[in-house]
Amino acid sequence: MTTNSKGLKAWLTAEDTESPTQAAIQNIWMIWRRFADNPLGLLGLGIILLLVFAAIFVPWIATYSPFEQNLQSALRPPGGAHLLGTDELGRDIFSRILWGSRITLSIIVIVSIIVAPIGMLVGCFAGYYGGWLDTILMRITELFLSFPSLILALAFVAALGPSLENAVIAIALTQWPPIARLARAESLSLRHRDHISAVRLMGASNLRIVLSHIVPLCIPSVVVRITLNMAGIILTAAGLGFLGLGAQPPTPEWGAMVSTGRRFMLDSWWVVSMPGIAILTVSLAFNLAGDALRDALDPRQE
Amino acid sequence: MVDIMKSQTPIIEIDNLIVSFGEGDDARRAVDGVSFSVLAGETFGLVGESGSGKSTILRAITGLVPSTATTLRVMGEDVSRERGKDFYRKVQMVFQDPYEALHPRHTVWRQLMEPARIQKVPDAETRAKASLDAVGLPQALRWRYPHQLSGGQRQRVAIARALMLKPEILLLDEPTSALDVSVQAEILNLLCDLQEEHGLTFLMVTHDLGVVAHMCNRTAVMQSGKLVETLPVDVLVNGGATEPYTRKLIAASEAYGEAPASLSQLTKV
Amino acid sequence: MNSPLLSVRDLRISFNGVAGPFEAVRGVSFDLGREKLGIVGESGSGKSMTGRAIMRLTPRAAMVKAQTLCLPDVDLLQASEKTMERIRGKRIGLIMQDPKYSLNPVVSVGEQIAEAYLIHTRSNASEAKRKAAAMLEAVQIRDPERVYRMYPHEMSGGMGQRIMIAMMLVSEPEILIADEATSALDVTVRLEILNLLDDLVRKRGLGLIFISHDLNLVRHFCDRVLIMYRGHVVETLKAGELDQATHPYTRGLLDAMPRIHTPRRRLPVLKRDPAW
Repeated sequence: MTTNSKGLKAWLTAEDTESPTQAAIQNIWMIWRRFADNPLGLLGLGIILLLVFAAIFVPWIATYSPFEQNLQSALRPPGGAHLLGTDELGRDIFSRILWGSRITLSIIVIVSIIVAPIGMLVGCFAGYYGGWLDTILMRITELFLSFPSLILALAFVAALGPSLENAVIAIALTQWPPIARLARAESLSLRHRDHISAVRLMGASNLRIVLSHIVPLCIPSVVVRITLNMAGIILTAAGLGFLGLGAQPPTPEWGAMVSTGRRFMLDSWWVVSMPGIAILTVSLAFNLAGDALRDALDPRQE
Repeated sequence: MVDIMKSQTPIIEIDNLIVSFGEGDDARRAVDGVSFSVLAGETFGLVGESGSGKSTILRAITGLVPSTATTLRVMGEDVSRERGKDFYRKVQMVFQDPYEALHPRHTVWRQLMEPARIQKVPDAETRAKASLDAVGLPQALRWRYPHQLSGGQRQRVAIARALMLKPEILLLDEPTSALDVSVQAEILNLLCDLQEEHGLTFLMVTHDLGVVAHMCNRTAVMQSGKLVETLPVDVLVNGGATEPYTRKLIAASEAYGEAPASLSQLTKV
Repeated sequence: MNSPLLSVRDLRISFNGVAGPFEAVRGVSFDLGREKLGIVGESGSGKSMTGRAIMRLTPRAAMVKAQTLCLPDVDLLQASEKTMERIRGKRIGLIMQDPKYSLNPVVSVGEQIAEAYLIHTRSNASEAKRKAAAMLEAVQIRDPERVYRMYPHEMSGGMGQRIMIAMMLVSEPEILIADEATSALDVTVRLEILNLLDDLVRKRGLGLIFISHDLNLVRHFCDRVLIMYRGHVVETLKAGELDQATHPYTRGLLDAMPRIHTPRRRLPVLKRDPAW
């Protein structure tokens, strides 16, 4: 085992790489080394991994069904059979939070999948080409940016009807413009760099330059930005849930749970606090991880 | 330094080249009516201080900055308006800062393959291997990223990449000014060898008269966008320059060159 | 050389790298008098790190050790951060390659010089202003009144470097460290700046540490030269006697330089000996 791990370490840090795969893995290893230097970042990552783990294995971890009502044990304080207490319908809060992690996680994943490519393509093309294309794309982006994001999301959900799917679409609509702006700024500074000039001097088309040279270089900062925005996404989703425009009861969405628990806040603090703490912890975790990721991806920033 | 010109055929012909930056009242001519021609097989130097427009000329030839010219011909072909994909098989460029010039997240191998893929060169892998050999880099280095290489190695990769398309002309933009002296010697030697082997023509921008004296057959001296004079390098180093600016430039370079002279004496020039 | 302005004995700077500890400076010793001392080396030789260590401005990850690192009356290794703040700028000045990074972009250069003076001396604003204007004149800036009100982005490289020198000299330091201070300048401007430095060093009796990669420049400008390679001094010579350098590294560096008047077919390439 020891020789094996030593061999792995040597392979990861070897000067003479033997294959492109090894080179790529070494690169990831170096990023991981820098990331691991940041204890807060590790804490954030740990929480995120815990969330993912929970979301996958809820059926086995959760002690109760999230929908099972038991009016006899309604509003029980934390402790005993109910780890985090029960809500007004006697549902186990711990189980509901666990099931809610699936919803939170899927919102995050879906929003990211929609937002990243749109924002990146709009921003990179606008930044690289400049001129009228830049003007048109950026005015559209600013149009979206000029509304506060929650208001915009509210308007869309109100128009499309309250549901989780519509909430996701609405959140995505409010999240792509900052990404586009970021990608544009990156490509503006990239397009005059010598290595882009060098590709132009190979006779590459503009489309090729944007797609295979500008976009990949924007990915790290976009990933960092999206990670940092996760907190905002979670909060917006919770906000929509709270206002009754996101997930509909009895779906165990964290924001909706806070919303319903609000009525019992004075007597039964745990109904509001527990999902609230979940929202807070996960948002914070994404922020910490995003910060550490930014430092890890750009070693020259020191 | 090669004494005999390899040919008298001009390979780059430039007449009245103008490059302006800015618009309207702010417009500034970075290159202001420059004319010269480079002969096939020679090394032609462009010397001047920062802001003299010498690098801009290279960028204008390759179309990286827009320019106007009465004549701008490369290998007999008019390129003043448009450059086809073929143009870049004839002309390649080596940049000043080798770190900037390489894609930061591509391996050496990918940097070399990129031009071949774009130009659809059939025997790309053989060429890439040959290019690495030509610049004296071991094949083992090909999976490294630029940040894992020394400055000299990076510049070798940049030169190898330029060789991938087997160009006739290499535009060298201060190729050694970001390197240590000992590495500069290696790179300059490498460039001389490549020129001999592949019959390349060099158009070389530099601020270092020592490099010009070592590398070039002829040189043009630039000052604030204008060409002051064009002269053979042996005339330049033997004090044959007629323009006062050229003489001043030489005197300043000699002040701490090998000529033993005291500083205070020379700054009065 | 009587009573050095600065003594350095066995200076060592190391880092904990991914591949284990790495020594950037490996036992550098020298004394600085009222002279122009050149430190020459290629990138990675540890020359800049040596300069930084004197100011105690090494990166946080660096571990600095030395037998001696002191001014006549202060031990720079033991001094508190507060003492160092009084020493930096006041007793030891530092001029770096690019003045743009060292100057505040939103304050006029004259005010910055005056402020530097105010920080280090007990005086009032009007005196500081007078002193700053006088300093601009001392670094041979034409029309100092106008330049006083200019902002860093309005300056050429040479002018920016003059401003930096003015700012460093206004508090009348004993030691000036110039780290590649003229490398980014054009040859003609570089000569003017060197001349100015030379003049000021002579008139004010400063000790100047001139860190550079340019052997030819240093040999014409400095009194004494330390040649550094991979973190230690391979040779110390009087600048005028550089031709008699014996160490193969120094000889190799001198040979590798292209020369204007003696053209060679090929440049000799430096053979590096791991034992150096």
